[in-house]
Amino acid sequence: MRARLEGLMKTCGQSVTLTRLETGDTVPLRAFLQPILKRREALPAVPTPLGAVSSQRWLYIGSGRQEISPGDRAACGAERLVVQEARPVRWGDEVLYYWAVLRQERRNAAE
Amino acid sequence: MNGLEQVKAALSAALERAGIAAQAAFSPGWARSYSQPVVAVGLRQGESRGGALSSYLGQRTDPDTQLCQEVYGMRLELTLSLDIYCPPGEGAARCDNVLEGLHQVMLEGLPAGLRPSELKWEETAWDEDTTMFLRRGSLSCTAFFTAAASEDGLWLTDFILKGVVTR
Repeated sequence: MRARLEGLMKTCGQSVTLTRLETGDTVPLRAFLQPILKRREALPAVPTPLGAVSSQRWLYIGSGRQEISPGDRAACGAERLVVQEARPVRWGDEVLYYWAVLRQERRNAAE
Repeated sequence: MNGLEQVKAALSAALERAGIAAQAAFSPGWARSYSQPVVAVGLRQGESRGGALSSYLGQRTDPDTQLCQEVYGMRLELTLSLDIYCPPGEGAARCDNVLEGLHQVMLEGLPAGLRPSELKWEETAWDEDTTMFLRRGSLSCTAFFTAAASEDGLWLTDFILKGVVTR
């Protein structure tokens, strides 16, 4: 089951470079990574006292062999994203895939 | 810089001097990523109050030109927002540490033209939009400004917040 899913990721998925928060390791992989189009007509930005914040979220479905956790960074094309929420999805005892929601990475205030 | 901007800038500068990062609320542009707590300084509400005798305060001699100037005053009753944002890695408790620093600044770090009367704080909560901890605060204060009439006596030059060095 996992091999079939990973085969689909290889052919239909996107190239993603994952940077782990804890170790700083960079991992190139294939995963399904698409914007969540809940309200297509709505402007995907929210004004806050600290500035405008993108409310756009991305759905990530990636290999069960590569753990992903909140705070990890993902680069896909021109997009620079950060993992907001992540969890493993199991088939029996095996991790079938990792599911995650990502948001746009913000520029560092110190820059 | 208008009166309200002067008040916000003076408050931000006082916080920065105390080692607390501050920025004007609702500045243009995208929100940045912070590794330390930051205070968003904004305006919740305000009232402009005129003084007696059309706000006329008296005369003074300009130290540069030695010319006599007529001085007018303006008073603003303001409620400023002091919203403390803390990144998740710092934890909600850091909002309390910043709050202590803010109290200290309010007691001894403000310019003479800014007189605080009341500080109010809400409990710390998670802010979904910024993905940071947030403790909203409000500072009620009175801001005193002075302005000098121009030489021909027709125009008032810019109002300056009392106690702020402008040159």
